[in-house]
Amino acid sequence: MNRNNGFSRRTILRGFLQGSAIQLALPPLEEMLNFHGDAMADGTAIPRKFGVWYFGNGVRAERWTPANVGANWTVTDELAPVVNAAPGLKDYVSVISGMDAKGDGYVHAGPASAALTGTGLNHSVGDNGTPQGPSIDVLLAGLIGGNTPFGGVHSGLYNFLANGSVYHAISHKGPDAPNYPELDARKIYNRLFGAGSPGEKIGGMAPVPVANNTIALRRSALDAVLSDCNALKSNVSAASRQRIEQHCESIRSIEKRLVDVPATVMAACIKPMSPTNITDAKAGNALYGSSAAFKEVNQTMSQLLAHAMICDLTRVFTHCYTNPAAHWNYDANLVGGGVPGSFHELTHREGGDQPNVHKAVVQQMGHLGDTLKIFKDTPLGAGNLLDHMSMMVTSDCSRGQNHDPKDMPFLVIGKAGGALKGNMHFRGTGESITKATLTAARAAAPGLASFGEGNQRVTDVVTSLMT
Amino acid sequence: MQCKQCVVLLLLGSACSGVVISQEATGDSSTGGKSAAGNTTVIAAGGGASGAASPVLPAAGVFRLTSEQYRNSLRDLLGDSAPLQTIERDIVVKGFASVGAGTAGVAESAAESFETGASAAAAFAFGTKGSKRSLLTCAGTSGPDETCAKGFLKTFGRKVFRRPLVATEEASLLKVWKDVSALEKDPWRGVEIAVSAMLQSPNFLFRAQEGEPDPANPSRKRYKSFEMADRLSFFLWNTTPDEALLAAAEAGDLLTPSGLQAQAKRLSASPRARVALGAFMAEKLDLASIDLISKDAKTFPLYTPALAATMKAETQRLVDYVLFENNGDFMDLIDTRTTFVNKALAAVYKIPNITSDTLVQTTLPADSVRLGILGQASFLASKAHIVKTSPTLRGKFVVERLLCGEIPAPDASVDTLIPNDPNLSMRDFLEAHRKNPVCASCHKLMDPIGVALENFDGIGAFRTQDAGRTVDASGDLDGQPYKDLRGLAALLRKSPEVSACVVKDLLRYATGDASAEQDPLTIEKLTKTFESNGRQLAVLASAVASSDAFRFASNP
Repeated sequence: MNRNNGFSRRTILRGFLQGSAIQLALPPLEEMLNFHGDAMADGTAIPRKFGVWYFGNGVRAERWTPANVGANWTVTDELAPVVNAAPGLKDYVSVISGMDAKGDGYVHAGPASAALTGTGLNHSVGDNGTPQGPSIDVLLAGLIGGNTPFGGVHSGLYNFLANGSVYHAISHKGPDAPNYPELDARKIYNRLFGAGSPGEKIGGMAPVPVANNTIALRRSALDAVLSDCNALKSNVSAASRQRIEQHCESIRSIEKRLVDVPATVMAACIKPMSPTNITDAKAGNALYGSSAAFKEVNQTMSQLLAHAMICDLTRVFTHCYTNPAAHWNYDANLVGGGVPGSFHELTHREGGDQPNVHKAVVQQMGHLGDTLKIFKDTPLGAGNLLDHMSMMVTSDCSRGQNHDPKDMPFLVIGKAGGALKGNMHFRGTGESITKATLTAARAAAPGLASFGEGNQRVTDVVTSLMT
Repeated sequence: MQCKQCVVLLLLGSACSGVVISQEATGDSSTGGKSAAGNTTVIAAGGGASGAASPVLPAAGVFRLTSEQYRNSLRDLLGDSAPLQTIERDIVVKGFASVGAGTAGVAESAAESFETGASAAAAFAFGTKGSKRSLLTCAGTSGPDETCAKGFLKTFGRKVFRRPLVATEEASLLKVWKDVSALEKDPWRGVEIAVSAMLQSPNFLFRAQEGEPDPANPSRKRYKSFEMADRLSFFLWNTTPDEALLAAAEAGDLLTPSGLQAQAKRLSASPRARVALGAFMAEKLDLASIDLISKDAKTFPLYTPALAATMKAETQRLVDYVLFENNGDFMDLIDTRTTFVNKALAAVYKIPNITSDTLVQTTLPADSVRLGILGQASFLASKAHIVKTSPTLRGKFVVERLLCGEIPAPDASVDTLIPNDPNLSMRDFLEAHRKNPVCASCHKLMDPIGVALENFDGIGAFRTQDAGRTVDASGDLDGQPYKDLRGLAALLRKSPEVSACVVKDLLRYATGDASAEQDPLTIEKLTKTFESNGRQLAVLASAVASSDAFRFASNP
């Protein structure tokens, strides 16, 4: 056992903003790891994680796409904030450019569905669209989720208000079956670590609550609900059966989390403290009014996601930093000239080479950098969380001004347990963007053979990104 | 189908041209539903051409409670002050949440919300200070015994599940009561948790509408007694059936035309129907989109979020006034010059002498260009951009919401680049839509109608100038010319499509089936009833509730 590092590896790392004490959890105990500290004691590799970090309204391609292709891409104005957030981060970030969103031409929505699900949209009057198939994170949860209590954790800062689930959720189980992002970090915490949650009994700074009957009472009610569900399932026609079954599945997932968390997970990390820095003004679409709190809320959520993954409560996440076509209001002083308003509108209205749009993209990419720094600062195994993750970053267009679905922005981040090289730029020639998604996904789940349907279906990945 | 193909149809001289939507069967084999229809004509009559012997009936299915239905049901079951959990947003299909309810499921986060909501509601009603404890009159000082609990669960369960419980359900709930009472050493807790189980059960959250073979006509299904109670109540009151309706279901009344009509009449006559039909109209007119408005402060100094709320209230008030206070003629909505304004809104409309902060009734001048719901700021502002108007969005609204037309989605290869030239008037700006044949195939269905509204700017204020040029709001509706909104409104008022669209929307809303308007005979019959009864919406609602489409379903 590698004990020389002793306490330094078990040092508790304290959090960030304004003294809020979000603790990073400890790495898995030395006893759990093999001699080199890079695998579990029983020889299995540390499970890979997969994530989607999403932002809306695109970028300015001429300031985003690196000029050179291959290894060691040249940093551009809009990618600088991503890789400069921490030393050595660039080694983890690869860029894919030149690929197009195909399928549905519905602006914003079509490309969102393309990159995330590889399918077209169902839409009708009053409904801006729902993807026709499951999203990549749902597919991966099935492949790599194992016995984790949560198939996926879905966080987000901001959501759109108009109808159409493609605008509201990055993750979909299928048509009209969105996994909505949770916009309130306190609720994310409660679901993962709060009373009655799978993470509740993980040892932590907060005292473990006195045992009560809550879980037994919940289970009692849920058992009855499940039995109603199973009965109803057999009493409805085939067309409706799947939806009822989805309900039953949801009940079963909740019940699954009511059992005691296995000892290996409990020992692997420390429960973080509740995010007391989050108030109503920093939760949900209260953020609609101003982007000032975006940085802080994004960091808080990134911390929670990091904890969720190293405590093996989940191996998959989607983070809706902003949703497709997001109308988030940037601060007046961000873009200067006292012009507040919707970023979406700005992308359409600003003339020339859109210097303010560029500033807003830079701000957003800075927040992506914050997320990556937090993940990189989270120890896991011999390294950090990013070493064991594949994360894709994309948007709903390249140039927001005309909803350009071509040359989509796409990043593949992390080392995925050694599957990804990092620091590569690949430029495509108009292939379907689903190829980029499959690349990110297969790095975490080698068994994923294909992704997408129809003219978006792909089986090959960008090999230059893989080791 | 997508717009690119529309160009081909155009060349073949098909019905993908002109603005008025033809009602002829096109032979298109698409059966509506969620995917874009074959072309822009409204009714694809499916397998049976017009004149077919048996009407095309909607398919049976399962519907999740919409958020409004969930809230109303909890309120009616537990009392007005029952805590209301925020649940997931509704899925809207073809303009209505009640149609989307036919595709909505309960994903994990929704199941969690419902669990939390059920537990809070049960605690409120049956917890220590619960308001509903009095329902258990059989309970002694130490709480209900097994017989008492059993009886209560059966009675209350019938209200929650909207039908009598079956034996296994009674047993399952009794088990919850027993287990929890023992664990907590408190039989009241047992009641509370059993109620919580009921309120998150799929039997509460879903309205199963599966039907049974119709004894009079085995080629179709009829909705069962309690299913009819459910359908009637959610259609006319948007809530769970009351005791009178459940009793009627028990007696089999709802399976007969006369029994059904009697209940439909009772419900229609209630003030609750007025509220529910008002909500239907709010969906038909897409009033929720007003909440999404964002306007440039420099261009529109009058605009505030409070003004947006007033705009919505104006339209709701006008709808209520026209449909329920005045003579009730639906078409008055198209050309009435009555409206309701407060000081802030009057400033936008340039109506003098309005000082009230609450809405007051007013009449626009007899020759005003502004009239009807298309002259209201709620529509004009929500179907516009942050600075500019949007004839496309406004035209799309008229085609989809008033004429029940369908506009296909743009093809993936369409370049939607928006030129940014401040010197162009909107009319000229739209020339790009018209000149490019790929764009034109769909935009010619929307833009010309929207141009009729160019006398109203991005927040609905009247104007005669745009980008330094006089506004030209002229056009034609299927060859019939208009100079501005007044002419367009006159044409819409006479249009059989507008009338038929009310019928189709109401039928779709009532049955929850997007293809409910597939049968031309049903539409024709109901439209006749509508037209010959002064186009009263409540009368139409009653007629819909008694129609075959509401009582029967196709055999799969």
